[in-house]
Amino acid sequence: MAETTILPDRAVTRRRGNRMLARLLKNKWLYLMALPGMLYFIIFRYFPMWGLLISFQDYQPSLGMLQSKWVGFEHFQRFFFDASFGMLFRNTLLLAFYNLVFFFPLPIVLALLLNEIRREMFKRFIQTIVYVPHFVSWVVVVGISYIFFTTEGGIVNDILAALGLPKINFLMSEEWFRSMIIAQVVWKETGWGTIIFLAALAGVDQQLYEAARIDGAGRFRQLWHITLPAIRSVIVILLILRLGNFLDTGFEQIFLMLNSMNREVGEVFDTYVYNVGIQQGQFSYSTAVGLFKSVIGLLLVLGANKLAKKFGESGLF
Amino acid sequence: MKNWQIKWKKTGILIMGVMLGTTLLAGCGGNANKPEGGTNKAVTGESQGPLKLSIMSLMYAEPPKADSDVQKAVEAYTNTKLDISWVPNSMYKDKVNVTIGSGELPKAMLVQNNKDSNILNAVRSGAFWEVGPYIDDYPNLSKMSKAVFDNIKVDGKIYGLYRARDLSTFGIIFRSDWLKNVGLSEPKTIDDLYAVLKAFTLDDPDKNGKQDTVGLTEDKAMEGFNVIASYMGAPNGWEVKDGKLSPDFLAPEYFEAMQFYKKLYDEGLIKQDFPVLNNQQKKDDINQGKAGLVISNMIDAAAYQASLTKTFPGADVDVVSRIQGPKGERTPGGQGYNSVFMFPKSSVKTEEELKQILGFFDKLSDQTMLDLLGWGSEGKHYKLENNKPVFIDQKLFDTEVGSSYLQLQVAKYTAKTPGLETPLMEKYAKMIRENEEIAVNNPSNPLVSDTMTTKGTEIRPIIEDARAKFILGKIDEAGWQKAIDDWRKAGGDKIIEEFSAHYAQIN
Amino acid sequence: MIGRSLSSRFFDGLNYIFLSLVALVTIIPFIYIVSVSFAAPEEVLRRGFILFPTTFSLEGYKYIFSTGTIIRSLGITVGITVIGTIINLLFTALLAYPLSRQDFSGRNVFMMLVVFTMLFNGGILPTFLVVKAFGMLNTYWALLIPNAISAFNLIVVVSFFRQLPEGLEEAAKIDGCNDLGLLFRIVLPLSAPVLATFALFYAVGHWNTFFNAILYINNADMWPIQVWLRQIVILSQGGIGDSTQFDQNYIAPPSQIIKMAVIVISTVPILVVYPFLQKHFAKGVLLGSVKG
Repeated sequence: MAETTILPDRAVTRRRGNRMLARLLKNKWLYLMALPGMLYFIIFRYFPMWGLLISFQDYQPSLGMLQSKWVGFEHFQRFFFDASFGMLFRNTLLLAFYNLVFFFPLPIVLALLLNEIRREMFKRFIQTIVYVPHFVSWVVVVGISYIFFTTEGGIVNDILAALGLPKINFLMSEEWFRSMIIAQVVWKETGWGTIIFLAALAGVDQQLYEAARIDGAGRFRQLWHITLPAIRSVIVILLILRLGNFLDTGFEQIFLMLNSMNREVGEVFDTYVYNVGIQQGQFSYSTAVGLFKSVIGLLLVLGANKLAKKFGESGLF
Repeated sequence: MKNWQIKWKKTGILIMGVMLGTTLLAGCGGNANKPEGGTNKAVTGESQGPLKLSIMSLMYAEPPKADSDVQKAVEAYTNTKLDISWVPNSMYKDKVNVTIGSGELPKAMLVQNNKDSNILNAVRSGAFWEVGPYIDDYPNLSKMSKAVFDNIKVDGKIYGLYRARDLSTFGIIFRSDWLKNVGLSEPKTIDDLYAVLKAFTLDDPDKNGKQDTVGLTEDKAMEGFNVIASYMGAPNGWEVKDGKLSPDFLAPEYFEAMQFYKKLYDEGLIKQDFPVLNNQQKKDDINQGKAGLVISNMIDAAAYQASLTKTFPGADVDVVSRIQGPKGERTPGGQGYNSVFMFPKSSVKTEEELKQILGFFDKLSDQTMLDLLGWGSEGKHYKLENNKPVFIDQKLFDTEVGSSYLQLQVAKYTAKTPGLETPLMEKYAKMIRENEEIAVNNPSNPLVSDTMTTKGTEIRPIIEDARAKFILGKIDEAGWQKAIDDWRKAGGDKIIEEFSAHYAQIN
Repeated sequence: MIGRSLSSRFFDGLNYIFLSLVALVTIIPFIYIVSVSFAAPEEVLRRGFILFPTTFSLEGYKYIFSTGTIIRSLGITVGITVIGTIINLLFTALLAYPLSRQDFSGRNVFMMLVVFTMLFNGGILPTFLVVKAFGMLNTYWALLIPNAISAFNLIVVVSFFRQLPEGLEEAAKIDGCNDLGLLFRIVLPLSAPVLATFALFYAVGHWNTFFNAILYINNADMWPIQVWLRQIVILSQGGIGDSTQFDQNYIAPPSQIIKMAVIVISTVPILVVYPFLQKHFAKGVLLGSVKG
């Protein structure tokens, strides 16, 4: 936009034919402002990235990187040809997909519903309450799930029994594993997830609503034509970022929920890396698995970003 | 304009170069290290003042102050100046990895599993001192069990001092008041045990008129199962058969134990959701009076007794650890140690210094130090009652001594002067001592298999899951056999092969 | 406002009921947590599940606060949280604003590089070595600087800044503001809800910090509260590892009580701070008035 409005000083510099420098000079403040942040990313995010190279090595901490042996794609081969790779990939993908479909939209819905509340006190009260579970650690969430869902005196199964229904083995069955995981995530993180959207909603120009009301637009039309468009770009950006971490299903929660009866559907990349790489000190191998996940994430981000741009969104870059 | 750009670029490249250089260099550890002050002095002899010793160890509560009374007493007694980094146990592995990688190693480092891939490789590349030849020169260290030293050997050599533990602490803990209520006596055989579990489940042992108890509780790790399997004659982890190593689950006795557990499960005599439970939830079952029997570390019995008598007046707990099976009385033996102190060559420069450090651990095993680390200081942590030490404030002891300094001890901590104990505590302490005779050792403890190191934890769940599924009736014997085949194919056969080869080599 | 339609009111009614139910479902497990943390040990041992305790005791809290360490480390955590959040917001805003400007050449490349760091990271050891190279080990800087900017937060802030009305810069330039002044005098004040949001995100991150503290700082006197809260839970669960010595006169409160008390302690400060931030969320922004 600024591109089109040629300011007087820019017109002058262009005549000098030194557009690049002019830009730099004109925006010198911007570059100066960006400098600390850029240095931060270079130093603390990019310098350590040599660590990724160890996935092509037989890295030994005691030898350091320079003396460790290079092994090419050996670790990747081991991973891809591992007997459990197919199972891990399927489990991770399904869980990630369910997470995206069943969890991702919920904070948006909850934020929109909260936004419709006109009584400030009630709104704040609900908001505060729904954030609280975010601070409960996974250990405790899983512990509470046991108390509620076990077949041995769990409250939910007691209620089912009282209603004359058969007990359901939520914690020890393959069928219920994913539902339990998603339900826990929903309970713990939905409220917390609304925060960003509420911030976006706070930025909506209130005059637009008044204008719409005068035009006779109902609640749903206001929602559709004013509220949603206002937070659309935030939703798109969060969605793209989520895709970047698509294969990160989280470790602790799943690890705690895993048991002999559900491992077939529950074991995912993150728990596998913990068992195989971290527990036994195989750094190169666990880094290789991580790198694989990152590359998939990168492809998803690039794809989603392109798609977003096609639909007229500004995307990430 | 180019000037400015180039300048920026130059500085950028410079910074980047310096950074990369330092990070890469630091990664190679060892030689790049500058010796810490005092190292050279200490080498020249003991007359030069106290030995400066940096130690990295784990701790369970909060690190003590370096000027605490206990540390002063330890330093005075051992003639050292200690510099200890205490790392919370939950993060210990991470910290060890970073410490090795960054190359700034302490002179003595506690390593939880000296056969983890990274440690094993460091050992093989010569990063740690071999201490085997020196041990016999020290009065206390020379008395440490040679069999346990065998367990920590790598390629036939000893690379550290293990922290000694009792060989076998497993036993059956049960509610003795319930046993009285159902009119049974202490189990002596597997059949007795079954009868007790049945009565604890069906005969209303807590006399509340409701059928709300269960005989046995267990958790997902199923350590009780391994004990039962041992009682029934199964090997402990591995066995040597015709000169070859063979995993326990190939033994017919192991499968019999699975069938026994299946029977318990089918008849409802074991907690039906045990594959979900963690250790704490298992303990809760006993503490809440829901279950009457658990097979675990007998030391837990004292805690059960204390908390049960508080909640349920009249409740009492007893232990039994000898069950007659087809192969007589047996119990699974442990490794006999927990974690190993290792001495990096990059920080311990000379043999002389290594000897001094070994001397520190030797002195720490003297009775005076055993009592200091086991009881704390008199008047503050313990007092004497009938000439026997009693804790004044155990939490204070735990936080100030037990969770930290005690962790430096390589001798068995139970060797301290016995305190005033309840009959139950005396009983299981005696059992633990006597059970060393009947403990079945795991012959794979001293063996190293590369496949085990890289894939061991990955393929172990194949067997463990199949075992639980069989007990719960989700798979039959054919399914169990299939799981064994899967395990073999996924690397199990190689582990057997490598263990057998190593076994043949050292025997 | 007055002439609300029937369907609109019906919707409002449903919405109130629904949100109340949501709040109930979220709060029940939390009531359990609070109840257990205040219940007497005997009751917790006997009943297991407690929604409304019949007894009251502070055993769990006493156990936690019986060491002086907790109070001091609480102060440390508050300090880290406040200073850390300020640094975070400053660094984030300073970088986010240029990246949000269309006329900032190279912004797409930078954004891509930032996103890249979300996907790829070198791991614990390489980062540790950088921190070490800067001499930050065993200082609080190690907790503040290596996490100065969260890539996620930065990207979302950029997207918020992009939505600010166009023409702000021209208007400000005419008033003689440079870009820095523009950011601090106009953009940030307009973005109060955004700042409040990310202040909260960053603050919670600092509040929960424990891993980096143990990794980078050897001196336990400098450790933040979460390290101790974790240690206390461990201590109450398994005593002192496998070297537990049991004294019949002493029984620690059941670990459930302590675990729950720890959650309450960890949550309350954020709940106290939250209402103050909430004001900013509710304010809304008078973007329109700037335009004119």
